Amino acid sequence: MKSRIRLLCGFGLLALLSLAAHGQDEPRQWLEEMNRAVARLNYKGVYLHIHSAKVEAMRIVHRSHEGEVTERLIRLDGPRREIIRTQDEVTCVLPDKRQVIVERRKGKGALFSILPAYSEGIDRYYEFRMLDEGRILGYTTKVIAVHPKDEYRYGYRLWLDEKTAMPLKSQLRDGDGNVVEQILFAQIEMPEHIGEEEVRPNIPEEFKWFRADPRHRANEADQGGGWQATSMPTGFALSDSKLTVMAGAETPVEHLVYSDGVASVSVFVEMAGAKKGLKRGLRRVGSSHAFSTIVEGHQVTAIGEVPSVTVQLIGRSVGPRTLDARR
Amino acid sequence: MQEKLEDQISAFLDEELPDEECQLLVRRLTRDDQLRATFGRYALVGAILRREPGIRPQPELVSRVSDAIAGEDAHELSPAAAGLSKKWLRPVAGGAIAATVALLALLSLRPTPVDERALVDTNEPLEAAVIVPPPAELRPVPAPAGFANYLFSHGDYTGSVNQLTHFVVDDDDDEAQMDIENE
Repeated sequence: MKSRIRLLCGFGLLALLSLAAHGQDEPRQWLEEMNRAVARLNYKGVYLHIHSAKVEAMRIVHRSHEGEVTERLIRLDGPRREIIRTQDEVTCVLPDKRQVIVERRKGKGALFSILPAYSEGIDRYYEFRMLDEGRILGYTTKVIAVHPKDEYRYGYRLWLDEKTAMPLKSQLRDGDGNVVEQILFAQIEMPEHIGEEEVRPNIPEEFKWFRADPRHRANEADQGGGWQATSMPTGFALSDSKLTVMAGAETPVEHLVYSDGVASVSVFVEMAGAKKGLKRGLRRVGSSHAFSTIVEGHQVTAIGEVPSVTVQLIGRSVGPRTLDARR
Repeated sequence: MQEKLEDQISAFLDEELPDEECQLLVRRLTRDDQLRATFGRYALVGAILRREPGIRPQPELVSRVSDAIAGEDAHELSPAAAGLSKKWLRPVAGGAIAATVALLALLSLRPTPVDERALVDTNEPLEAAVIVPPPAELRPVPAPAGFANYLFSHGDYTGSVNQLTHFVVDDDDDEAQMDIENE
């Protein structure tokens, strides 16, 4: 088993050994290696998701085959839930509701990836440090701290297998170093091959499917552009914008993504008339905050794994773009 | 000590562990690899016992359970003695309880280690393993909630395991899981 891992990640090990010479660049390069590892490796296991005094156990299977990645998440405790992500679609199975929701993939990032791409500007908002080595489940780990430099972002502490750069433990921390949420593997295997059947969804025929209406799909090529946020923390910029139709919905939603390279905030804008029970105010779901408001007859919601002040700042500033701005 | 911790895990999964003990257990889980592995194994066993699709024992384990049922040990074991979660028993009926107790008994045997990999076989056709009676009356299917869709879309976009996990575990009680501060 260990020899297979070494073989699989041989080039990664060589790359990592060379990283040590780069001094302060080492933690960032480990994170880049981690992002490659979570996309490239085959792995499966059970992880615990811990926040406050709650623990959820999830089974995860990640299959990478000929450049195609498929991921499967299954809840082990409580009502059954299952998510299957392919290159193009994400399927959520809700057996107790007898529903299957199918959405088109909007991003391409693998699970556990946090750093889309290194940019020089990131150093202004986060401090990257290597900490003492640790051990998780028998693996020697490199420990990396990503510390935010202001109150608008969270930081991370990550324990990466030194041979593969696979994250075995991940903590989301606030600016004071308090752990907001963490994920720890309870069991993990990294085999050379995972069969297609291990990530194939099996869904009873009688389940009701919600799938984005194909009639709307042509419109999804529309990059949106009708709405914008005008205030955001320094370092955040628009990284994606599109019109999308969510499964089960009739009307399109404008989805804007603002990111500083590590943290991301999504802004969703849709006609208020299409929704029951309009929402205003701040919500928290685990480490995520969401801020909702109504602007010119539209429900606006900003959501992200960021402190509440960030979604409020961005959410309150959302409005329709002026004609001049659209040109 | 280990037995007490395992009892606490079982109670935790049943949502019957007092708050102060929950906090202690969670702290211990974050730093104790062995306890975390035990927690994961208990959760996995719970999924097997509930006959969750995609999570089921390998034929070899089923065979061992059958053998245990045929023997006397399983019959002598009460669910509590086997450390069996009451919640896990709920979806199991009739003679299946004996199999369930036997399975837990097999998993509880010390000092024989249990390899989690032996528990899971995702190669079998799903439907053959799923024995869940259909509900007497199908509830109307509501359209997916907007906020849950947002959480789902953002988690999928960023690849955030935290957010996708929250979508998976909180969706059944959407509003109750949120702190809402109206403007």
